Amino acid sequence: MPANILSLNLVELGHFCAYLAMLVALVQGLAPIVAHYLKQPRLAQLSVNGSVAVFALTTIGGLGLIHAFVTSNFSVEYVAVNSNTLLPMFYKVAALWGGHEGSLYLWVWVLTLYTMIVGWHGRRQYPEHLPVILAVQGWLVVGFFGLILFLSNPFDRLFPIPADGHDLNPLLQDPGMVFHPPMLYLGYVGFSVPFAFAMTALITRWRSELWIGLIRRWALIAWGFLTTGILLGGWWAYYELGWGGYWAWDPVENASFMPWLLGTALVHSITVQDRRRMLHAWNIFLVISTFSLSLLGTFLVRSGVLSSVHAFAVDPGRGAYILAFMTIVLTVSFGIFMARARYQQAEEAITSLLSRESLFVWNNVMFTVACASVLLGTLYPLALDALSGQKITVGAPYFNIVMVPIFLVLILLMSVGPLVPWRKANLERLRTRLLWPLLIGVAAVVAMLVFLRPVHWTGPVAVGLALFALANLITEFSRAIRQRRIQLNEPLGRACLKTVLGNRRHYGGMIVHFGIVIIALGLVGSGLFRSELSVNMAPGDVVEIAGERLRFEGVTALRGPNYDAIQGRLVLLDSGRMVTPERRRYMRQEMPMTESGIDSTLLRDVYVALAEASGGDKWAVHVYVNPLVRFIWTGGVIILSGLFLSLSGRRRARGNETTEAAAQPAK
Amino acid sequence: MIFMIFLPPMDTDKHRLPSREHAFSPFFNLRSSAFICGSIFLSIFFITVPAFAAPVTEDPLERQMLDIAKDLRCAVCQNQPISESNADLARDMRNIVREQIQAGKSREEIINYFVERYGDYVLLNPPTRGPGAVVWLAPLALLLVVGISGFVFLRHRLKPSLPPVPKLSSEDTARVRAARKQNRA
Repeated sequence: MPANILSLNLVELGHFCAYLAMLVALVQGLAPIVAHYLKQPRLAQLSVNGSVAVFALTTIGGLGLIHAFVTSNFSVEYVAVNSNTLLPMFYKVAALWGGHEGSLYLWVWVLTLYTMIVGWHGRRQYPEHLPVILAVQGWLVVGFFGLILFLSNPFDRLFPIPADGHDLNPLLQDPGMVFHPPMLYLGYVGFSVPFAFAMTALITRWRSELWIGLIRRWALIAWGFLTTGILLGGWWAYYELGWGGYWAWDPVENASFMPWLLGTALVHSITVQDRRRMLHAWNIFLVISTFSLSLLGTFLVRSGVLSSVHAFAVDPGRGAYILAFMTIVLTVSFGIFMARARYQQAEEAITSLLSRESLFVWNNVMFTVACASVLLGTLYPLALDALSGQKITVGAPYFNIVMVPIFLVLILLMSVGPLVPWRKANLERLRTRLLWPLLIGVAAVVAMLVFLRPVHWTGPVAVGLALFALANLITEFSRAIRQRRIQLNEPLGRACLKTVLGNRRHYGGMIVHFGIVIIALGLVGSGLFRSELSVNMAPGDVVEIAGERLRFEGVTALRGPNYDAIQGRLVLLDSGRMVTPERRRYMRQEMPMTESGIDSTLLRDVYVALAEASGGDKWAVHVYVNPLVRFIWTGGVIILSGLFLSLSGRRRARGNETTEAAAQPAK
Repeated sequence: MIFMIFLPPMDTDKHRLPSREHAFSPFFNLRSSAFICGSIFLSIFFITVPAFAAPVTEDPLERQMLDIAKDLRCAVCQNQPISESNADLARDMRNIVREQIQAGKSREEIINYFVERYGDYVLLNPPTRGPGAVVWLAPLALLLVVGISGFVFLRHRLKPSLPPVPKLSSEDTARVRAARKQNRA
């Protein structure tokens, strides 16, 4: 049998399986409802079994699409638009999420994966709630499959079959971009699990002590993926877009940043509920909002509404579906929330305004304000345009002015919060503990004002706060170790290890905070102390910037698998290392693409972008020296390691005791 | 100019006097030996001094242009300033900014020029009057509303910790002990 016909059939098999997956997901969503009304509790088990089937079917569909990409089957329209025969194999696979239809498919694929894992994970731990959780997930799967199969179907055929495909968007032909969307989606979709738990808790009146520990894990996992996705996106933008920055407050970036902000608030306030039995309703509210923002993020980016409100109207069916889906999810979830959120009144009281729980509330206040501001800045121009036709732009300068002060307050809260005990703080003790870190912070501010070039006020303040936070982390850790050494007479290394491993949740969190401090320093360094030059250089010319000297050696022509490039070569005279910025023109694409040349050390990046030929053998070259950019990526790695440590800890023992104690009287 | 002496003589001579006979003149040998001596001198004492021309400097016009361009939106891009965009329109807009700077226009005049043509849309910072004011005031309003509700919540929940429990009298202690004993039995 010719390979073509096999490939043709595999696509149809995948297409068929996708329809089947939608139907099974419908069963999955209906099973507990039917079981409830028919009083046949065993029927509910269908949703558990269904989750495995849905994942298997969706996987067959996805593999069918990937097969079509790998074999360059251009009878599939989506393949023809997003791939061509010259595309390297690696990108052919990644092209699955290169466009709208495939991205949504990846989304639903990840959703079914999470659903199956929850089904497997919960079969022992929370079997009686599992069908409802999976049913909520099932409805989401149905909603997404409806959009995919009826309005943006990646399995659609094209006739006549083109000889070759168009191309994958060249911006996406980069390793950073290959992993960025799946990570982001693992984060977005990950928040659907806490969402399903929260809905189930409201519907079945599940006691909060019982589900909060479960939600915490899932929320942390989702948060970790989202953080990774955002950082990968920044990293990609940094070396790919060629303007020396990594974050532009672009609506697409904001779309991923909003769930991150609320998700961060969530992972903090979950702790309050876990430790102090407070904020139940608020946590459910946060879970619902975070997931809604994940949906909003997906749709904002995928509907094309961002580039122009009118792009939305190009395909009215799709736009209407997305709006309807969002409306249904929001009304149903918030409706259930309003009706049921008060099912538990047994909240503990706050003993003092100066306590950790109170600081967590302020953390939530700040994150909520941050998120709402970003939401407004992103959606307001769209709403204004749609309603009155007036066009305004809310760009990076605005967000920097508004958001940086909020972040500074958050760093302050972050550095003080872990020192303040639960319930009630001893003001005297707190004062002595804060003394040294405070002096270090002030010294840092003074040193910056004296020794470094004058910058915007946020620079010294941010560095002062970051060092204050760092000093707090160090003194708190060394205090714990000292205590352990005195009590147990352990050697230093052992004491360190035992302290960290003995309270993984806490020290995992502290490592994450450490990573945030490192990132903050990186942001200040690269944001405020950047040097840039835009010059015309002929071969042999030397440029001097921020103590670095670069010699332009000229350009050479290169040929990639599916692009032509001009590669500039510049030598860093001090180290002899070479940076090679490129300017690529992909086949079938209009706009030239830049590949920046970066020489990176821990303390600074020399970043070169080749702009355009400016007559003769001269080239316009943008040279940047960005201090401390590496800190940002390093901070990301530190955050992830802290997250792993935190996740490796066991669930709180007290939580398990209350589980049994609370379950008894209920029966 | 004194560094002329360290340049290879062949080049300078050819440049100045291309005639063939001149190559054998004693002047050539003089220059040549001066070059060799000079090079040795240089390599001994100034080994780290690199032998190249002054670095290329940035055209101040370019910096002025970029400074204005970073606040203007490229109208066909997604929220990108014209200083960072590769689009043709952005290049044209950059050229206009350059021309206007050369014509002696001020920053405000140039920005106004673009606002007149493209509207407030072209400003990356929304204007503080009209519909843009909402965006500027909203974060403050949000901070107030959310902050006050956070504070109200905390006050509402606030219950000062219980006063220290008075010690049991000896009578009561005895009673408790008796009750416990009874319970055990």
